[in-house]
Amino acid sequence: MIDMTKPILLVGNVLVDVFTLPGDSEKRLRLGGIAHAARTLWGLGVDYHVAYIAPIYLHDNIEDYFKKHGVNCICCAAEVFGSPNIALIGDPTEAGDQRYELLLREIKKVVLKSAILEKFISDCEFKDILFFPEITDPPELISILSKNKTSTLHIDANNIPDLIDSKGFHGQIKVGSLFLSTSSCFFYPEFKGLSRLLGNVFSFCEELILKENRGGTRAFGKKGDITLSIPCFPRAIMHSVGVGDGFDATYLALKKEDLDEYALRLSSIVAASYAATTFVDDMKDDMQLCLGMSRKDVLCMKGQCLPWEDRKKINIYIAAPDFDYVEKPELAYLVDCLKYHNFFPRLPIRENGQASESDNIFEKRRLFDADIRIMDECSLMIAILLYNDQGTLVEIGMAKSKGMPVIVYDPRKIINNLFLEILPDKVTSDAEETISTVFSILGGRKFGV
Amino acid sequence: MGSTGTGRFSDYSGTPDGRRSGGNGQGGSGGSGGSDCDRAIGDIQLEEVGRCQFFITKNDLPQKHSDVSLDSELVSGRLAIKDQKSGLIIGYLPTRYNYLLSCMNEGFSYVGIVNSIVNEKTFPRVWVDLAPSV
Repeated sequence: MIDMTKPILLVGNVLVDVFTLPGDSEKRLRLGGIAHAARTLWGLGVDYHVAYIAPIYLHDNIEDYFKKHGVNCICCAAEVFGSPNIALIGDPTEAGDQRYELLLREIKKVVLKSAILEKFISDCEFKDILFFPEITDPPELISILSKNKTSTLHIDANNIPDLIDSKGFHGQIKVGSLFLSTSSCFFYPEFKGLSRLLGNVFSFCEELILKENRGGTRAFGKKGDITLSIPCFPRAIMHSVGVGDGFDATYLALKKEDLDEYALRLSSIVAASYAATTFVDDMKDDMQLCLGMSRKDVLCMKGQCLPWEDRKKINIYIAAPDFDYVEKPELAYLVDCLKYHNFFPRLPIRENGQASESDNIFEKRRLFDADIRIMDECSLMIAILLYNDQGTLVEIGMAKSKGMPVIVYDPRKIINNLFLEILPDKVTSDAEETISTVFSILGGRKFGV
Repeated sequence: MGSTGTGRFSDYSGTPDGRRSGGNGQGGSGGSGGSDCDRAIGDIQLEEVGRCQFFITKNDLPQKHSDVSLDSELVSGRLAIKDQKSGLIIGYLPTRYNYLLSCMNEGFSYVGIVNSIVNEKTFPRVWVDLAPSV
């Protein structure tokens, strides 16, 4: 049971998320945007209000859904024109880039209902506002929210990098907790630097909560150099849509002070629960179980930690038939996934050259030596089986004899050999499972958190 | 089935689409979570076997079909599987099974057996099956 004196007010767009889960033949459709945070609060049994932004055709569905899932007070804060607020999500598991596409985003217009919103805010009681801004929001919206003096404004800044670079719109707003994730454009495709981030945000926020996907979370405090490292406690990931939003909401419901380690850890546990299923009643039961964990267990439970900047230093050897005459879309995809998460995949053929039949023995030895040197620089091997490539199979054996962890990614399901099936640390035909295992092997080594 | 299909919003609490076991016949997955406490879990590969008490003490692995149990308390922050005969820790459950801690808080306990071992000296491995004990 969470002890809360007043509800949380959720403000932001409600979207329609459309995606296909692995193993499914049908597309799925569910309310997204701030519905993820709302679903989580309902699962935790925490009171909340909603001021939503959406096109009119969704209003009845939105209000019906929220009323059946615990909302106290609800209003439409702004109306969307030009865009249906539909998000197509290419990879809901976030093995790599989720390929998130908001339809008709370039012609989306949002019209604020200022009088309605201001009256709603004055009539409802709440202590915290959790706001998920978008670049299409009218600037008056954040002004209305930030001038409310009886509550604290918290922001998830994933979709508005300008907020960070402008230092809170040049000091116009003050924020309690600022949430950001490594899924945001501040990190990918080009990382703008942690020092730039930290140098900007504390002019307008009290704490920065940086969510790093399967690598855990870090919390940075304004006062002094305090940084908390919070592990990820992964479950079998069914989806990665809205998981960070659920983390934000849980943290605000639980926190008693800034940099509340217990609240951050339990939020990480609850977020994993959200990612484990799309069945809401199962999710609720699971979250209630999470809340039953003792404080002592939550504070000492080990998980996996792998900060964003540390990953670039981790070399991952890609053993695969990366020859110019081989069709290899699975290799390209997995390498992209690794780069999305800021790892450093090493592809020996691209770095050292491709052996050819005309090479003499001296050239072959040179290539072999160069490839081995790369292997020695790597902490982990991912072997991608596109067919029974002799080199790949030998490399697997060499890596295991050196004590290097090996993941075999078998997208074409061709493994038909006892040693190949049992020797590696993990054999999978699923890209998401491959990426999760990378985090598990490398992130789980840091048992101090 | 947890929001399957695009005809309408269907993931409402209290409906067949609210639970994996709701069974509206549409097929597909949707995930775990919920009341997994009473489910048996098969073929779990334990972690850190080579650095745990059993392997270090005996320089060997437990035999296939040995009885095991899940320790009710965290050991160094992890869920530990013990050999029932010796009481020594064989290895740890992967962190994705941490939810079992919540289940144990609800009164569940788990026992099982060793289903396989690979006694490769540089990378010893043990797999167990677990089930809630009655």
